[in-house]
Amino acid sequence: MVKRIEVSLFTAFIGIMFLYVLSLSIQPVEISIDEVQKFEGREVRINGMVSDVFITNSNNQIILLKSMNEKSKTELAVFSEKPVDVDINDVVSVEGKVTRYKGKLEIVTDGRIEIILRASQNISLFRLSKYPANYVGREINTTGYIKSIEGNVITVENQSYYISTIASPIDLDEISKEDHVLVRGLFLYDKQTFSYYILSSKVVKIA
Amino acid sequence: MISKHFHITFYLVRWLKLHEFFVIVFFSLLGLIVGCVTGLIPGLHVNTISLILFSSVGQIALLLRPLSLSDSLMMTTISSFIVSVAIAHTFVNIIPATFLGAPDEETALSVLPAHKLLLEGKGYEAVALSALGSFGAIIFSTALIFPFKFVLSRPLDLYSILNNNMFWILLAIVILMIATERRGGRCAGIRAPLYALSVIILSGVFGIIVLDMPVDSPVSLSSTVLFPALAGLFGMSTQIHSLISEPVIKEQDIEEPKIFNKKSTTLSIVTGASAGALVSVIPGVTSAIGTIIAMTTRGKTDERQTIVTLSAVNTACAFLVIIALFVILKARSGVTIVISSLIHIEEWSRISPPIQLIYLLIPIVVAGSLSYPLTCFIGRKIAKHINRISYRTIIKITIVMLSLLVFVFTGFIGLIVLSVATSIGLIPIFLGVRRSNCMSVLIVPLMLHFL
Repeated sequence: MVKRIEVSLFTAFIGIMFLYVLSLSIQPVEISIDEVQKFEGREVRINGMVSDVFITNSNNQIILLKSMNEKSKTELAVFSEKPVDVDINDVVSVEGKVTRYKGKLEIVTDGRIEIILRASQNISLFRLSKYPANYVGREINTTGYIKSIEGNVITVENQSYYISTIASPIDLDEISKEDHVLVRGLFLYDKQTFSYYILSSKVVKIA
Repeated sequence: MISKHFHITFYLVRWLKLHEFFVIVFFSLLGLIVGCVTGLIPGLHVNTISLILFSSVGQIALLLRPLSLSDSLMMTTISSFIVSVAIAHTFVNIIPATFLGAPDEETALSVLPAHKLLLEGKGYEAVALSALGSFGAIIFSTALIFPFKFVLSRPLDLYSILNNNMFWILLAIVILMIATERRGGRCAGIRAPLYALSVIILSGVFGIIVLDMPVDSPVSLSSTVLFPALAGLFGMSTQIHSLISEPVIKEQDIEEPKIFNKKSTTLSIVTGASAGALVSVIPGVTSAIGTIIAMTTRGKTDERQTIVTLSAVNTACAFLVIIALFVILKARSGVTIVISSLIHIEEWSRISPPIQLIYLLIPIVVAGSLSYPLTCFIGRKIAKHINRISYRTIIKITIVMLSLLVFVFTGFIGLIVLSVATSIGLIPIFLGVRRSNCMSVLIVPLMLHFL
């Protein structure tokens, strides 16, 4: 009997340690709002822009997310058991389970909502081109589509305005041409080429 | 008892349109049959059954199409079917729990009281006592519906008090589990609570690590990591232990249980159903812990009364968790999660219950009344033949079937979780302490959530 206890204890301890390591390496699959039907019942990570937010009577939070892709009209409800400080037009990344509620799919999360970009911090390329002096030397966030990638320099375009951005090799692995991205970094002026550029700290695909 | 059910049925028919009533009764009967089948599958929890049924809602709706029901009635009918399956399942699952996974005589005390009776050749008595406990719980819980509502919400508002002190309530339950750990048998003195504490810590750490782990079904079925975790802690560990301890199953006596002490049995049902009511509103607390609460309240008794109490807690919880859904608007079980996804849950704020809740009482009454004789009938048949079949073969088939179910619902990660959970589930059996200590897999993460 003693041997059986020892074997069970040993297996349990080793198993728990293995599961701990496994839990650190397992990441939920990253999907876009339009793909949600294919992932019912699964843990996913999803990025989107907040279109509405409210608190229910039972102190849970409902966040309506819309796709960052302007062509898509899909909206998705996120049910958060813990209210998170988000606002309309914030760009967020939500981790949770795709669940059907009253016939519609939604994401149920225990509060795993990361704010990628506060609406108040987002500066459009149009605004940057119109008032560059207001932002030069400052940390900014902007969004757009990747027009080209040459080495570690990407060109981000939004509504006919574009800007060169120096991206890190890690970020470059995650993105490709025509991706919709969020760029965060320093807005700088290059005296040699008489042009503005962004020295990015992060370039992330948002839809 | 029959007259009471007749009155409830009459009351329901007056409230509902006649054809709606018959559609729901028909699907409740169908649910009863399905529940009797699923209840016989060892290790299959009613929450998993709910998830399987939820995945099949589209197909069930297609089957209902020729009846030309309105959308809302269709969803209510499907909900009634699921409630009926769940109620029948809570009655019938005592049969695999009794006849499969029996230990050797040395360790019988640390596992189910039903196994002790099985080893004495009284497996059928265990089944019949359990069915009696469940049926008694249906009757008592029916009488509890209105008091339950008025105590939980306005005017007494007990749920708000419970909810605001959930951490302390869960801590008190853990202390109760440790303090009431048996002081006798193989594990005596101070060692019993210390061993219980070790199992609680181990299961708690396991719960913290796995509960957020994503699992994927290779055939796109909905499930959670809770299925392999609970199946390992309670189902697979029992089967493995049974396999290595090689029990000898005697020829079974097919005798109806003699209720020597009707007062004690009534007390078991009342305390069990009351604990079931408590369990139905506290998250993470299961019927096994409800039984500890009930047994602590009622005092020391024999294993027969423990079986009656455990089954009363189990069935009362499955019943009252549906009432709680309409009172506190919280889904506390797999069944209620599915129901709240299918139909609009209107808060029970007035004196009369919402119409949707009245609809859902039909399957409870139908399945609750008919599951009692059906459980006894199936139990009798199995008891007659159990010693003619190779017990080890049945256990091996059960182990393979459980592993297969886990793989189908949760994939390879589920199988790893199942293996680790099985190792943890074997520890209390070998140490001679209660297996319900393993429920810390849910209680500890919940305590951290409420902290």
